[in-house]
Amino acid sequence: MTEATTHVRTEPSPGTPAVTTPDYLRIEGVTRLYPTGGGVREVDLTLPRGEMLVLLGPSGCGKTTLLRVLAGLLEPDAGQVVLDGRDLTRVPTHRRNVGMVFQTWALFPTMSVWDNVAFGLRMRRLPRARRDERVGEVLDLVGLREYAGRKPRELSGGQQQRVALARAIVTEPAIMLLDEPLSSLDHRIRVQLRGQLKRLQRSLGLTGVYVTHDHTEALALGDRIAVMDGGRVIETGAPIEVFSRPRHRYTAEFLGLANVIPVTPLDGSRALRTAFGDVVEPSVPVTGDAPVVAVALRPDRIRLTEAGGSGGAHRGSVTAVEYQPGGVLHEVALPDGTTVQVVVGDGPGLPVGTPVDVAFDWSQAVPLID
Amino acid sequence: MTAATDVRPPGAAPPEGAARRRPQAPFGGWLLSAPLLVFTAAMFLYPALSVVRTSLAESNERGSGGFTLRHYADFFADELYVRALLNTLVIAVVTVIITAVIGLIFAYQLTVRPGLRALQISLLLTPLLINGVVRIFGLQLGLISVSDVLMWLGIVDSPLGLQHSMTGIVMALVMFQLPFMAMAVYASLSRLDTSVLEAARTLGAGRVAVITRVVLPVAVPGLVAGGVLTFAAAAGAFIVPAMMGGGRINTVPQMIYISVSQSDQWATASAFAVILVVILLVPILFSARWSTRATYGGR
Amino acid sequence: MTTVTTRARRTRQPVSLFTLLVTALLLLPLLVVALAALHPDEYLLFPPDGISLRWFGEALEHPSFRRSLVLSLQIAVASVIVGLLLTVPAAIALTRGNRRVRRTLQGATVTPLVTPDMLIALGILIMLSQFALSSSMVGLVLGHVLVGVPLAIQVLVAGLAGVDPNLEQAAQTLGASRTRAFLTVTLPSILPAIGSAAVFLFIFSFDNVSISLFLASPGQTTLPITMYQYLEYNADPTVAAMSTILIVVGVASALLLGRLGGLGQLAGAGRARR
Repeated sequence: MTEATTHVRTEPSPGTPAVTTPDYLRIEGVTRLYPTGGGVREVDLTLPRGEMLVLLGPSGCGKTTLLRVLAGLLEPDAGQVVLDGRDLTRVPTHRRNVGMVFQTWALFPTMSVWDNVAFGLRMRRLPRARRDERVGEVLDLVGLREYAGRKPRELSGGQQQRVALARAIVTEPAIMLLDEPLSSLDHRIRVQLRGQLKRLQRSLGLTGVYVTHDHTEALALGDRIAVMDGGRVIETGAPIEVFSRPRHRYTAEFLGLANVIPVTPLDGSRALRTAFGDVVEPSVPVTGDAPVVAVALRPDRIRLTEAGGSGGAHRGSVTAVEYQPGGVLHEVALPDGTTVQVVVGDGPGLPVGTPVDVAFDWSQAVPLID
Repeated sequence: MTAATDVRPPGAAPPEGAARRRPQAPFGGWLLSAPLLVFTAAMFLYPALSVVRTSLAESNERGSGGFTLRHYADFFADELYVRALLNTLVIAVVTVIITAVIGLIFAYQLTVRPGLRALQISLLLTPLLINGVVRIFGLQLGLISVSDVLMWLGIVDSPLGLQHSMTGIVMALVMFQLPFMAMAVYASLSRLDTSVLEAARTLGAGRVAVITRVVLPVAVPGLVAGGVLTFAAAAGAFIVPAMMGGGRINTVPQMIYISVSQSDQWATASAFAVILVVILLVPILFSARWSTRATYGGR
Repeated sequence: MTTVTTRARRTRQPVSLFTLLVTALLLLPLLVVALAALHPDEYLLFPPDGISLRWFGEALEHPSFRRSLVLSLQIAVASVIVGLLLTVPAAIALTRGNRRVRRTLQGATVTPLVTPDMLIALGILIMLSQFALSSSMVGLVLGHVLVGVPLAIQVLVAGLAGVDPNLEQAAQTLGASRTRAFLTVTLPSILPAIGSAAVFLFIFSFDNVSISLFLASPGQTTLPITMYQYLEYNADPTVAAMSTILIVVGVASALLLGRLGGLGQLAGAGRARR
């Protein structure tokens, strides 16, 4: 792996009130390892006020561990967590003023929806009248006022999720921590709640850290994305940056949006050579000293024509066809054994077994390091 | 090399289960467990050691000191006591066998015919919450009634007298221990997917083969666990032989009780108790061997 | 008959006649006692040739039955209190303690489980005499607690294990301290388990024979011992009526445990208690 240090934009986002430090949340060198393996090592991250940071990675990459360190549910072996200028590292969970939404939602089964939401205010000894008012407001916000008297198990999954969210925001936490809060819902409800969550976060100006393994969720919700692998943050950036110009082969493969084609650098130049002989000169600059090991090329940057046409292309054959909302996805096998995915935007596509000529638009290739 | 749409990156660590473990008790839990540990030490460990110490005492007086193995030797020299020991062993072994057979069939039937299962398990367990003296009394009344009916029908011409016999003792012990045995075997069998039985049949196994080759190996851990408990319960039973034996069939526990209650022979009673514990340990030690073999062989 | 039939629609699963028969045989003695108690005359007859409830009144007014019933209830209630005070903290330690604590506790609860009651009783009796303690009440309560502890712990641990550990952590993120999180979130969730443990402690004390037989002093005998001694000389409708009352207590405990969800735990508690 390369250096773990990565920086998120440091200027405060426009519209937020002046803050003493530009980085509202600062995670410095946080390490927490398990004897059995796993955990996080030397994570540095920063986040401005009012933004949502998405920790993206497969299960076991350490994202939940990091979130629990932020919540104070786990103590880091090293490093510190600073929120709004205050060092939280040794502060117990219940004094941190965080709002957390758990993957299983962790609603208190013995309490009604109302009491679940009121719990945090009760712990803060808010006067009763003020408490009732707040709980009512927040339940209105998530549209669950009429379910206030029910027990969690009498609600649908989507409703339970909204109760968990209401319970976390009612205390006006300094930071929201969300641990795959939508992962146990049906696809349709997940998309719907995702939009609701984003609107809520924007309108309330909440700062949040959101853990997920689902890149569509990361794209939809994040102002910043941090991609994690093996306990480290390997790259961060705005969603569009991470998705259109990933820096690591791992990121490109995990996002699964592009062809990742191995290359070897040619001596003495920026050019790269693929296994099937093409020489690539990416227009995107390579950052850092690490050698480029592959390039990413989106499936719509490859042209496919029935064999026998113009020269200069590679001869291949269609091995699979899949119809997708944006067009027809073809899997094409090249003579050297490489397979690439090609999207053809219009038309019915080519049947399996058709010999085809494949032309790559290498100017759009993104160089990737390990 | 391909960019598959569903990339599972290499080296994905095990799931973050470690992060979700339970909260830890302060002081590692020693403080919370202290009351129970002290209690067990005072009410079980210390008394157990006292029994061993007393069994080696010179005289049968309370709190007598010294060291002798005389009380153990006395036990094996007296025909009455050896007879009681044999009775105890016979009763325990027969009870274990009968309970195991019925319990195995019960558990198997409950696995393959799960209708009314919850109700049946509740009904099986309910008698365990009812007083033992009452249950023995009921069994005696029931046996007398059966005997009366048989005499009335002319099948037998004198009372069976089962309510005061070795057979009666075993019947009562089976009645007490069957629920435990059945549930222990059932717990083992419930790991068996019933479709495995169907698979065995499609592969040409007959009913007997299914039972001996598929069901029995899975049932072994339950049978061993249930058997050990049943043996201990049967060999250590006092109230059953006392009530069902009608004072004619002696067992080791009865000898212990009589030694204490009627003649204040503390050392004798303690020696008998130690002998009884040794007897109970035999199947436990065997079962440790057996269950390891079963786990290695079965899986 | 015995072939395993998979029906396309499993609306009704097959019921085994064998299991029904065995269950019925186990319950039959209890039915015999209850019916015998209804017989109007002064001797036992089964089946009875009439119905009367007079023996229930006789049983409850019988001086030694009455005295020992009161004593048994007192001891059982004391056992519940002492037992819960010991087992609730221990169950928490068993689910949240480190490995050595868990090992030690398991050893401490399993060993008494496989030891016959009467041996436990003999040991306690010798110990009490060593310290010249003759208060049979204390000995009885502690002895009964020892017998009930393994099952109570088992029920409580099952209850605690069923609580999502995230609940307490959620409470902490909402501002509750660790102790407060336990008291407000986990404790209410395990109240049914505590209830089950209490029922087990009660009934194991109330029903106990072997320990009581050794530890009870002549003036203070528990109900099962009084009945055992009574049955040595006479079997009449009075004792059948008292027995029926105990059957009702047992069935009531079973129903209560069924409600609280602890009845199934009984299966794993086979112990040498006769």
